[in-house]
Amino acid sequence: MTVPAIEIRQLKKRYRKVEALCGLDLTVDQGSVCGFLGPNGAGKTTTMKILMGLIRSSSGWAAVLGNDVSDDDLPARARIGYLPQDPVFPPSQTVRGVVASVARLYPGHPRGSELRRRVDGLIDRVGMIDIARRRVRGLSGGERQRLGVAQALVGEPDLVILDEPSAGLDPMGRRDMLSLIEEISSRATVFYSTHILDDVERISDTVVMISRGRAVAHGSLDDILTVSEADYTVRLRGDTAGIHDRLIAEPWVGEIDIRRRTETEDWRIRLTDDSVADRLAPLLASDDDCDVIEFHLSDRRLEDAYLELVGADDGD
Amino acid sequence: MATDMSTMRIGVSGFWGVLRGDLGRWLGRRGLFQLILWLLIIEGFLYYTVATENAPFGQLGYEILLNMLMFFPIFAGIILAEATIIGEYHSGIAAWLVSKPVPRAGYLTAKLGGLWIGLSLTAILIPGLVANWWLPKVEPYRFVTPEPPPFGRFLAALGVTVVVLGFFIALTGFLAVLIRRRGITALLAMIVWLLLRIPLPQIPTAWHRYLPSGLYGTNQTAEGWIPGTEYIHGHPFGQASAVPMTMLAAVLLVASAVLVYQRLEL
Amino acid sequence: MTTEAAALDRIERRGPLRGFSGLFGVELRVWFPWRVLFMIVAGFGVFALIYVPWRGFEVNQLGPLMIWFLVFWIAILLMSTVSLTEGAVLGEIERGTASWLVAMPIARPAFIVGKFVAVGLGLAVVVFATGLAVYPVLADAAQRGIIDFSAWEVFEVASQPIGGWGAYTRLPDMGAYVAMLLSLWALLVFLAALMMLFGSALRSRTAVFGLGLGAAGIILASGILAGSATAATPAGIARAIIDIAQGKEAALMTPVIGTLFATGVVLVLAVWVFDRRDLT
Repeated sequence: MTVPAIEIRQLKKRYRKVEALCGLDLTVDQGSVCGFLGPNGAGKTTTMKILMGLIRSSSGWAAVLGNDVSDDDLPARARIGYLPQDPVFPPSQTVRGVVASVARLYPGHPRGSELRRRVDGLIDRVGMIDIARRRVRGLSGGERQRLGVAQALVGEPDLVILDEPSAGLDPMGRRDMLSLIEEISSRATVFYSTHILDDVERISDTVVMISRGRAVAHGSLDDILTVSEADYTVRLRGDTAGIHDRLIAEPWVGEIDIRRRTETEDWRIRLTDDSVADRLAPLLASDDDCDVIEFHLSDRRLEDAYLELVGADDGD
Repeated sequence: MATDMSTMRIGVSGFWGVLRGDLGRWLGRRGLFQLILWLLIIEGFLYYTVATENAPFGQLGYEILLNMLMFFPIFAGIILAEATIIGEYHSGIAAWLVSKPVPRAGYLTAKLGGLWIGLSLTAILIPGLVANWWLPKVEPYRFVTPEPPPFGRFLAALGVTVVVLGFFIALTGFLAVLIRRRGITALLAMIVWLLLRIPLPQIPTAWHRYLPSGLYGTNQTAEGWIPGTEYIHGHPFGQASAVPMTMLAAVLLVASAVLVYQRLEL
Repeated sequence: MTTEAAALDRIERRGPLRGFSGLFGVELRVWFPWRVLFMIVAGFGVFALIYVPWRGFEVNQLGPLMIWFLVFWIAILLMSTVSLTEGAVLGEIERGTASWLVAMPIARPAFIVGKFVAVGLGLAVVVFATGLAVYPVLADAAQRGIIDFSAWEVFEVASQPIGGWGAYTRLPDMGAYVAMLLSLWALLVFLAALMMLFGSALRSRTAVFGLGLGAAGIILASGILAGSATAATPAGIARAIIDIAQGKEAALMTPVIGTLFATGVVLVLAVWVFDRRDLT
């Protein structure tokens, strides 16, 4: 049985009076692409820094590739590529120089023309080969971000931890970054934080949502996007007053959200119990004053889930 | 055991990677710039004080040279050490490097070691050897320079300077990880240099045998020269035991710095 | 005129120094109390280190005490001024706080001048507090010559003579002593202005630090080496103070006026350079 790529149990981190993490639990399986979501200050960067051994947890336990992070285990770190938030590199070094110098930090790194080939290959993959000789101080924010990804990959890691890789990128840069993450995921586990929910929906198979230092949702993207059998969207045309009254009189009907259009109405109906879902359609069809144009389980987008889970935790 | 070996191998690889990166810069444009700067400062000031009509001291050229080497490169070492350690700590470069398979101890020793090697070459050894070539030949104020000293002894005197530089880089590294504020770190290291240079050596105690003050403080020899000058002119090295003790102190300071650095949040 | 309009009008009328008072207050808190206290304690520490070992010698103590104390004190004050101002301008530019501040209704000259005035005030407190506090001890040393308390046992002082400092040294009277302290302050303030200029013009804090120390070294060395040629410059102050410490007569007026004038020129230059600098 393979060990999880990341395993965190009851992780806590306190900065003087501020509790950045308060009992975080999560597991990221090897081979997955895990989006790490949460509002600003939720504890995403703190978690990633603890995983990289840059800061120490106050209590709890975290392991990366089966190694306890508090052991500061170098063999484990040699298998991780990390892109920090707002990456900083020596300003006088060139793009090629940064990637090559990082490559040399790994044991058994290639030398000579082989090293050059690997470095240039990576720089090409992040779309910077034309500016490989440019110094870091002359790079834009987006270019710096792409260089950050290149240096994270140069050690051919099994796990890639990316702290907001799309931050500061223009739409094309963001698209390229997502393609790159998809490409990486064929060879390595990817654990990345972001605020861009569309990105997560597009490339992740696992999602962890964190709020106020603890996980509020954790699972596969499909699980999080799947709603219960008790949430339906219905489009009706005609006089809907009668059916509305009949519905709200039923004890198994919870809320009805109504959005009126020019000729139709969209209703979102939540039932109190999904075991009675089969009663809804016949009831709607039985009303002669209106026609049912659409009837299906409600779609749910990640944004809905995020606002619901994180918003509820924030007391919004 | 296998894991230990692997950890050791990765740690050494990370250390060499950082050291190589830093030394690479000393061998490139940065090193060339430093070398030119130090040649201008050391040779220029030495020429001004021993070989022109401005020579007011009537002192031995080698005494002035060795005193300068115990001053300029060491102050530069202090400034560069605090700039490297504290600058990289605040900018995030240190965090970036130690997120790679580089042990914190390896990062710190490679940074301080790279600076020590680079500065020793460009600011002490090469300018010292260049001065040793022209100093005995200067005219018309030849009376202020002695016969060329035995090369081995001169090299040993330069070696002592390199040891003192190592001590101050180690001291600054220790203060830097402890204080993590640039100006005050350098100031404290410079005050230690100053105290060991004159006020403490004015107190004639046996302690100087074990302190860097025995290597560059005033009042340590009968002639009032610093020990290196006396040594290159045929005398025994007065406070020889201060050499290993200073080296030991430097090692202990680096070890303490590593201990503190291990606990730092980056 | 509304209150807001009146406030804006007030800001506008302050011209190049608008925002000065706020910035000056912030900078004062940078210097007071800890930096100033540190420099005062360092000064007393140097004085104690110089004074205590000499207390046991049966010679006139004022000579060695004055010369060694002043040499070391000046050295530490110069190093402190450079070390504690090297990041004053460039550090804020690097951190981004400079661009944040000048994006507010704060004039760029006020940024430099606010820092400079706070440094000047801090240095004045340091110089006068330390200098005046040690004067009674210097006077005591001058009067008594021999002090019966022996610190020999404490410091294992061997019975070797201190060469060269046995000659009689005259203690400057209080007026001359205060003038000496004032000139020392002018020297430090000139160096602080230079640091503002370096910080405004350069892009590397290491370079600012190195140049600042180099400038301090050149001022001291040229004061000693170049003699009367430096009379109207900051180096002339260094030379005059060393002369006074050796019991000689020294004219302070010319170097002090020259130094204050140079300080003004350097400060204007610093403001001019900072005004034209791109802040990132």
